Amino acid sequence: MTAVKAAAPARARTRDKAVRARGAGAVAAFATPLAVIAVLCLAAPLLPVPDPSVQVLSDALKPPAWLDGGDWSHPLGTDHLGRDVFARILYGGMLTFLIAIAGMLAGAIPGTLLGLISGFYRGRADTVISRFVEAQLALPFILLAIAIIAGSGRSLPGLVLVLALFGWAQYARVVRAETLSLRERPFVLGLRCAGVPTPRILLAHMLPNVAGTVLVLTTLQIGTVILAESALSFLGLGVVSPQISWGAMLADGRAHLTTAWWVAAFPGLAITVCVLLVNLLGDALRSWLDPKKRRY
Amino acid sequence: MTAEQAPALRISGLTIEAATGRGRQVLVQDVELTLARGEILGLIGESGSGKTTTVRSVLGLLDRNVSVTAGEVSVLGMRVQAPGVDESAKVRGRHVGMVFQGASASLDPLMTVGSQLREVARTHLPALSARERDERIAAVIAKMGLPDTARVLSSYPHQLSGGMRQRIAIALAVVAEPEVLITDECTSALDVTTQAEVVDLLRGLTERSDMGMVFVTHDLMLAGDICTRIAVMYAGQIVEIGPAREVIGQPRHPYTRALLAAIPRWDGGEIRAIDGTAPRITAEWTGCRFAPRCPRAEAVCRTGDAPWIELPGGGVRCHFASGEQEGLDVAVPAGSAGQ
Repeated sequence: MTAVKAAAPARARTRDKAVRARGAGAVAAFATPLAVIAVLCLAAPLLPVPDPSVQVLSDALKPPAWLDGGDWSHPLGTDHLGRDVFARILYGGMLTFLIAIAGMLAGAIPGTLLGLISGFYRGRADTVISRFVEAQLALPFILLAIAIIAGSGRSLPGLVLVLALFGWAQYARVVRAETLSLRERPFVLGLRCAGVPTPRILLAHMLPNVAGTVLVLTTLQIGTVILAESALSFLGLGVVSPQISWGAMLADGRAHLTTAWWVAAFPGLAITVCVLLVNLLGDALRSWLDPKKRRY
Repeated sequence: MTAEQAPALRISGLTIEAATGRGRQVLVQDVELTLARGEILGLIGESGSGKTTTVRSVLGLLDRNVSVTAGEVSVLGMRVQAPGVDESAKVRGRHVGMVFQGASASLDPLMTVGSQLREVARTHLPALSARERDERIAAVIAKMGLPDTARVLSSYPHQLSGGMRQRIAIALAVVAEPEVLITDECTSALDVTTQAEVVDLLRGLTERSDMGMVFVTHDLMLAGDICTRIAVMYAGQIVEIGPAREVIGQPRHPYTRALLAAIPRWDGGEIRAIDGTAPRITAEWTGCRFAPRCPRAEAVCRTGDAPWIELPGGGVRCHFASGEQEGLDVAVPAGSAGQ
């Protein structure tokens, strides 16, 4: 019998790399500033900024440094209790990111697993899970949040739970659709023929194959979760003082919007920039991981 | 009967029906097949004749609206399929390996070939140590005629050619040394030279071990070349079965003859297509299933089910099969029953 030779793969791989490298550039361009912001926020206690909770009432509502009456000890000014806005944005960012990531994971993990089960087993499991997804998507988020938080009181775990409830249905729906098409691929039949147990097919083969989609969805969802957290904190359903989040800062600054715009504007800007970067990163990841560019 | 004496694969009275929007459709009816170890049994017929459904039922891979309604399938004397019974998970990969159509896409694109082989080996050979399994895998890869085992094992499927992927798919099916190998059109997506190599490989595999093989194809000549026995299916029934040489050389059923006459020939002989299409079979069907397309059908063919006539080494399902050889020759142009 003649031996088979592998010829073409080398060239194809070079071209793959070129396509991938271009996509990777865009991903890096959005991931880098986001990473810088995240590191700054998480490292806030180590930075030479004032304590975000210290009130200096004589310094209340000082404008940013470059305006008349401002100085560089408070680069972004102070709020109505004389607290440093820049320090509060950094410390608030820490909690905002932690809540966003925890809320995202708490939604992504059960959502992905339920989507996999629903799409792979179909039948009764699918019917039940899909009805729950539809019910979840039909409920207005703020209404649900108010109901839960009013019932359980304001707390961080409660907030994460609400955000998880808000997110899981999206994952379940997208992963289910992806799994439905994936399970018809010949390799799944091949695995079944080879006697690979079903749970193993699900976790070792289906999960990695939907991971790209989940990753993209996750990035996009982080932006949504940051917005949702801000909305809840703005409505007074989120974090409790002295904890700080960007949404809570927005709510604090609302009263002084006409006289001291900087108190609300800078956290608002932080939310906008981060959500925008996260969404752009999600889009870049999506085109980077585009199945049409994969060579199989 | 002990596992040693039992045939590798035995299908008896197998009937498979599908629940469709237009009522129940009979996909496979009363199929009887026995596969001995070391034997290659060809299963041929046109698209939709029930070949794939029959072999998929062995491994319990039927669609959810399709079910076995009568008969049973047993592997090494163990019953794996019967109405309401599906024990196929016990034999998948361990006793029955399967390579199917488009098998070059049957590898997980995100896993190296080596990991996939190790996964299957780990599932079925838990008693061996990791090193023994790796040795087994290397030996199987070598048997497949693939050079540079280490490189092949560390490759992802898309880095290999179609022919190589096909060999890996076969390796996956035989790594646990099953007693039965089912190949379903596994060579039809390959070019002719690769196809010849894969067929040689399969033949070698059955010769060197006492594995039985069911070779499903619509390529009559290929089946005649590789198989010991051939079963011809039409519209869900086996219409003829016998030693490969006889089925190809002296076909008895008009459908087999028509199939042979439809093969393009190098000497420029006429290609005779079979008029019409295969019927959709429901429980109400009466008469011989091939009657509407059969050149020599008579009144009796349309009213009575064609009888199964036992012949030495096989059988045929036709009203005119017994003792009317000359009459049957009408259906086939002289010389097209290939020698």
